[in-house]
Order: sequence, then structure tokens, then C-alpha cells
Amino acid sequence: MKFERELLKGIAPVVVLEILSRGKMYGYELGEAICSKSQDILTLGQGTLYPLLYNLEAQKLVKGQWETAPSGRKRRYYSITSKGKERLDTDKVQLADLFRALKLVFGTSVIPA
Amino acid sequence: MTDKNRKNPFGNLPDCAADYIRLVIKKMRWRRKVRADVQAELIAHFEDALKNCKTDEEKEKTAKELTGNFGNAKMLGVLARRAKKRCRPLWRKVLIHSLQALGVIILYITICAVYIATGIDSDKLNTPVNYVEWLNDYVCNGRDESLNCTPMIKKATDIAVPMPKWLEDSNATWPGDFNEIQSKEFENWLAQNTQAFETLKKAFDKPYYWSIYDTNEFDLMKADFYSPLSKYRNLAKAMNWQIRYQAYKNNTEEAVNNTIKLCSFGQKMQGNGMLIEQLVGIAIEAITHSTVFAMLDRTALTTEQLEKLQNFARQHYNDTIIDISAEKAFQYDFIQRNFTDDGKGGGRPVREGITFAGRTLQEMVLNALIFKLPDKREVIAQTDKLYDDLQQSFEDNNYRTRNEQYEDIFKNAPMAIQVFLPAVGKIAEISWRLKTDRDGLITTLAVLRYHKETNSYPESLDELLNKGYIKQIPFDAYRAGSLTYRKTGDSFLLYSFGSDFDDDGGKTGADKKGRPQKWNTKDGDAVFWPVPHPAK
Repeated sequence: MKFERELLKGIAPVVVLEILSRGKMYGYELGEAICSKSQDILTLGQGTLYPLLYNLEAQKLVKGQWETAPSGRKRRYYSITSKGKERLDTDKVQLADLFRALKLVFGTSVIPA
Repeated sequence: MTDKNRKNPFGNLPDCAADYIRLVIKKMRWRRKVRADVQAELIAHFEDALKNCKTDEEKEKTAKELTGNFGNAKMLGVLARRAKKRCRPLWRKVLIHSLQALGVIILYITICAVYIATGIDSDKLNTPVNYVEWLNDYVCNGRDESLNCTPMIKKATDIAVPMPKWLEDSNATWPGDFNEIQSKEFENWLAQNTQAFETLKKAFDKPYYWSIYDTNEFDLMKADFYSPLSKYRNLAKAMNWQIRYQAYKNNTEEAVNNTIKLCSFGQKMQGNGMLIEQLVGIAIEAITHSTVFAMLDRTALTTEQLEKLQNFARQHYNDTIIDISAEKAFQYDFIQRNFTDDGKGGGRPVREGITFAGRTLQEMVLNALIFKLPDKREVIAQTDKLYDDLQQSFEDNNYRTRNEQYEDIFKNAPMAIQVFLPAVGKIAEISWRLKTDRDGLITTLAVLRYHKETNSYPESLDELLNKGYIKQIPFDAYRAGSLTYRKTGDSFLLYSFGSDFDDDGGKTGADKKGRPQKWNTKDGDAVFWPVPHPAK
């Protein structure tokens, strides 16, 4: 599903951090994981994924490292750092608050489509 | 990375995928190592995405879809570069920014250096005002040339015989101090100068003094003012000896008349023309004062003669001693030679004019580097204010209170003005010293006259004033109060605090050799009466 860029902009780093908090992954694997975990609702454009990863790396929220994948190929694996975990916790709390607020605004437990 | 990978890092990727990755990397325009890293990551991504494709067609199709999904290659390259840039460690960021700043500074300095090196040369400027001509008009003030004593004084200096060396070095202040041989040589030397003295006296009958500056030398800074002045001073010294000799030989009437004439010449040189001439005028008057004191000390002048001398001294009491208009013209000339003329007065400084950009070398260099250069109008306004302040300070207050302010005036002027600014503190002191000396002379004459008429000395300066012997209480510039007067048995004591600004109880100051010296001493007072004598 295609979201407005601005809407996705704030969410994407949290999603990436959340997925990586479950284990290290390389770029392609991560993109696939986001699709499958969100049941294809969140399809982070491939062109967005890598700059996003590099930005998170610059902020020291994730760490990239070349390793050999089980297939025997070299892949750059990204893992969440302790700083990244702290940020994820904070962002999760904020997102929970945001959803609660949205619920209150829309007046039902179901956000209208 | 294997050799195979180095040769063809894209392996079996379809051409469209390889081209896409190449374009992204090309657009990244970043460090080779980082680009290689990103390229490897993108290749791996495409390999993973295409691993399940069985045929080349399928691979091609999937690769096209994938590149479409990646979006604009140029944009991806730019975003990747920006993100990777943020990944640099802090030390590298600092280093890079420092180097960039250094580069900018070097570039800037180079631009400045080129600007300065290729700037307009002052020789190529128009100099619309001939300040030498202006100065000649200023000092002449429209008077007829026949009223000017200068040509005749020059004539007198040409025929004057120089003072014997032994007399120049002598501590003697009176012809009676010479031994027999010296007296003979002295009289002989005076006789040789008879014609020069006569010419000089004729010159003194002319009412005005002004120099004629060399108009062929257009540049005021190159004009010659100095060479005749030392001759004037030497001739004045010689004439002072003639006056003392006349008094010594009891021809006091002629001595008094000649004193007045010579002193008057010194005064004519003051407040007019170049500063150096005015200082010579001050020196001539000061020498004359010392001659009067010597005569008062060694001879008995009549009441009429005392009054005559006093009236003369009083007559020029309020005349301007120092006028710095000619020095200001000097400065204007320098400005016109260092600024372009935009026709509205706001010209820019040429190469040499950069000296107007600051008060110190550091400030000048800094302002030149940031192109903070004053325009001609600003510099002229600054010059006007500075010289007006100085002129005012020479006239309207006493030296003691003004002394420290000269330093500030000097420090706040741009370097180019400082260079041409006379030593204002010193000049002010010379001017105020002369004023104090005049007051000392007038008061001494008055007290002696009082004594001649009443056979006693006044109790105080107030008494002298109240009885009309003086018109005002004499001023001591070194004290910012009156001169110090005391009756002492059968005489009196009159002195200024002198250059050390404190009261030494009337103890005479001395030079390095211990000879009595009125001014410029580190200790002691400037004693007018009793006249100090050198130790025998």
C-alpha cells in the first residue's frame, strides 16, 4: 500500500528499528520482513530503505557490518544498537499515545478507512 | 573482493540493473570506498531479489520492476550521499570543515593581496589642490611682499659669521664671565657680525614674517622648510650675545630696544606657517627671555626700561602661539594623494591609502582584509575633527589638565594620520611652557619695578595685582594655579612647579651635567627669581 510520504516519514524509522530489534538483517531481508510483517500494508520503497538505514547509522541507532550470509554471500547486516533500543522504546510510547489520541478524535475504536 | 568481482562486480545481473546501480553510484559523487560499499550493497540486494528467477527474461523483467521500485537513480544517489556524509566521525567532520575554512581564508587573502598589489597607484591620481600654493596664500594673507622680513633675515644669515665653538660649549651667561682671551675673541666675533646684526635689525622693522615655500615642488611633503630655520636660530643666539654685551657695557637702552625687536621677531614666527617654524619662533622668544633675566640679574635697568619690557611682554600675551593649519594642509595633501576622486567627495583609498584603515597595524590589516576601508569624505571629517580638537586644546586650557588627553587623541587617530601628527603632547608643553615663562618674566619685571618705586617687595601676588603692577595673577601651567611667589629677606622668590609638576620649594632644576635648567628637568622647580647661576 502506498502511503503519503510525510505520513510514512515519521513511522519508517520506528518500523525499521522494531524489525531490527528482533535480530540483525541485511537490506533486502529487511525490506521483505517489513512487507510480510505488515501484511503488505507497509511497503517501504527500496529507494527509501537504504538512505534511511544510512541515516539511522549516522545517528548511531543501527550498526552496519559486512558478514557472510548462510547462502555464502557477503551481505551488509544491520543490527540495532543500545542507543537505537532506547529510541525505539521512546518512539513506541509516543506512538501508543498517538494512537490513543487518534482513537479519541475519531470517536470509535476503529479508525475510519 | 575477488579478482573476478573487481573485474565485473555486477556478476550476472541484468544490464538494466547494472546500469541502474552504476548511475546511482555515479550520482553519489562521494568517496570511492563509500561508493564501493553502497554499490556492493545494492548488487547484493538485486542478487537476492533475482535469486528465484529461472530464466533471463524473468530476471530482466523482475530487475526492471525492482529499478522502478527503487525510483529515480539520481535521487537515490543524492540521498545516499547525504546519509553517508552524516556517518562521518566527528574528528573527520571537524577536520574537513577546518580545511574548508582555511581554504576560504587563503582564497580571501589571495583576493586581498591581488587587490592590493594591482590597486591604483597613487602616482596615477589627480591631485587637484596645490597645497604649497595654498600654504603660501595662507601665510601671506594678501599682504604686500615689502612687509615681509624674511628676505632680509635670509640676507643677514648669509653674511653672519658662525659662533665660535668654545662659546657654543661655554656655560657662561654673561660677557663678564669670560677670561681675557675669550673676551677678545668674543668682541672680535661680534665685530665681524656687525653688518649681519644691522641687516637683522632692519629686518625686524618689517611688521610681518612669512616663509615663501617652493611652488616648483608641487608635493608639499617634498618641500624644504627646515634648512633656513637653524640659521635663524643661530643668528638669534648671536644677537642675544650682542644684547648682553651692550648691557654689559652699560648701554642698557639699546640692549632693551634690541631685546624687544628680537623677541618680537620670535613672536612673529609663532602662530603662522609650518609648525617647525613656529617652534623656532618659540625658541627665539625663550632665548630672549633668558637674556632679559640675565640683564635683570647683572645690570640695573631703570623703572622706565622695566616698564617698557613689561608692556611689550604683555602686549602679545594672548597671541596664538601654535597654529596647526599648515600641518592640516599636509594631511589634506596626503589624503588627496591616497584616495580616488569620485566627484562627490567619497573616493576610495588607493594601495597606500590602506594606512587609513585602522589605528594600529593589526586593525589596519584586519580592516583591509575585510575591505572595511574608509572613504575620502570620512577621512577628511576625521582629520578636521582631530585637528580642530588639537587646536582648541592648545588654546583653551592649561597643559597640566590637557596632557593626558593628547595621548587619547593620538591613539584614536588612524595610522596614516598618526604618522603625520606632530608630537602634540610635547608641542602643547612647549607652548604652555612659553606662556608660563612669559608670566614669570612679566611678574619679575613687575616686582622689580615695585621694588624700585617703593623700596620694598610686595607681600603677595595679589598685592602686585591690586596695585596695578600686573593685570592678572600669573599662571603656572605645571600647577594649574598661580606661580609661586615669596618674599625672602631682601629679595623674593618666584617660580613655577616645573616639568615634575611638584613644589620643590623653589629649588632650581638641573640638567644631566648639573647646570641649572629651568624646564625639562626630572626634579626641581623652574625658578625665575633669583636667577640661577651655574656652579663655579
